[in-house]
Amino acid sequence: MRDQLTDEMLTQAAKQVAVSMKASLPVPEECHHEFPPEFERDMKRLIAQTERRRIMRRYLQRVVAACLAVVISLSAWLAVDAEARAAFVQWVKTVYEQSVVYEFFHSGVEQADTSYRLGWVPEGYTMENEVSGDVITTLIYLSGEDAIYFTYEQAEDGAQTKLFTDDANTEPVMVHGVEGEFYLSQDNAESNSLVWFDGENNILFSISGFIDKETMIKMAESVEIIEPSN
Amino acid sequence: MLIYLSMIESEADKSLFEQLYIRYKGLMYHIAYRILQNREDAEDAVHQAFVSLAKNIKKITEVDCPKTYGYIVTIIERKSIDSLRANKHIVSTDFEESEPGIEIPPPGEGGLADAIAKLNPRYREVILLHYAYGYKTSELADMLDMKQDSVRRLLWRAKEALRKNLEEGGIPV
Repeated sequence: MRDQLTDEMLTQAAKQVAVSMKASLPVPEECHHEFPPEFERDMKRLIAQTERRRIMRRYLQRVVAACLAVVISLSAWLAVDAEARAAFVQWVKTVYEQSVVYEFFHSGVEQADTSYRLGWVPEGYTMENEVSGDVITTLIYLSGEDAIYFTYEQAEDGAQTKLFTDDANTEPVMVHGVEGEFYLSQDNAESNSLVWFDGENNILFSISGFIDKETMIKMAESVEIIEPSN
Repeated sequence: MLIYLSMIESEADKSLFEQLYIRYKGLMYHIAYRILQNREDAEDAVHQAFVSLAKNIKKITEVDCPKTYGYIVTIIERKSIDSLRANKHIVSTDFEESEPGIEIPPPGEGGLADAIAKLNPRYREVILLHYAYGYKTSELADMLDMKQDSVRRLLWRAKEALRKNLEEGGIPV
């Protein structure tokens, strides 16, 4: 009685919907749009990167069989050498007209499942909500109607974060000796943002809110790990 | 230490991703623009969609097949909706809210197919990808950047939403 929606029924109905969806959309060959040159340039780079990764994957599959000792040695080296791990984490920052996308390419080293919070926030703010996805977590601190968003995400391969930076000036800043970027909005209706990357733990952090640079850096430097309760 | 070797086996094999880009970029922009109504945002969404496709290129074997088409349409819809939510600073994960997505004409029989067409885009996407296009939950987890348990939960919630819609419409299940 409970599950009268059988897989067979769902499959048949879903296929009908798929046909209807396709019929409602134009044929790909009839869709033309002129993308800007910088877009095409970024895509060429992405295509090249994808090909390199595909070739490297295929190469590694064959080399492992023939050179197993070499691969094991390399893996051991990566496990003990933080600098070597960092060398295999690459990130690309792409600046669009109204946004900035941070995109990460990672060697695939296992990430620890760690939770963070802001250890210090301006007076009046309290942590009110947490939104967790598989990769990104956002903590929301509120003071009346004002909000501070603290976000962290694992820099897994292909992970990316995007800031809408229309009318924002960018300034490099330091967070505990790590270089970050502060986005100062020129629009009173848009908040400021601070982005920095913890290379040791492969975490991208960001804070957004109607907060000045010094206060944001103070919050950023107060980030602490939440110890799991027993 | 790792020597870079060229191991391209054929031109077609070499440029699968490029073929996808050439074939679908226009359609993807069309869908993104329908949802976002803004050229730059739509282009951003297309870029994000291709980044996601690049990450999951191993799951695509043919450029021109229903399975690939379904994936392409889903990913661009998903990225467009994410962009819309980010623009509005929406952090809620409540999928019961109506999200603007692709409007699918109901197949017209007033039954289960119509109910699927009217689902919230998030639920509709996972139902179509799993049941119409045959993607396993493990594949969906990678494609949608979710844990497999989350995919199963999403499928369950989608089916519950379907049951509820059908019952409210007085349609026997």
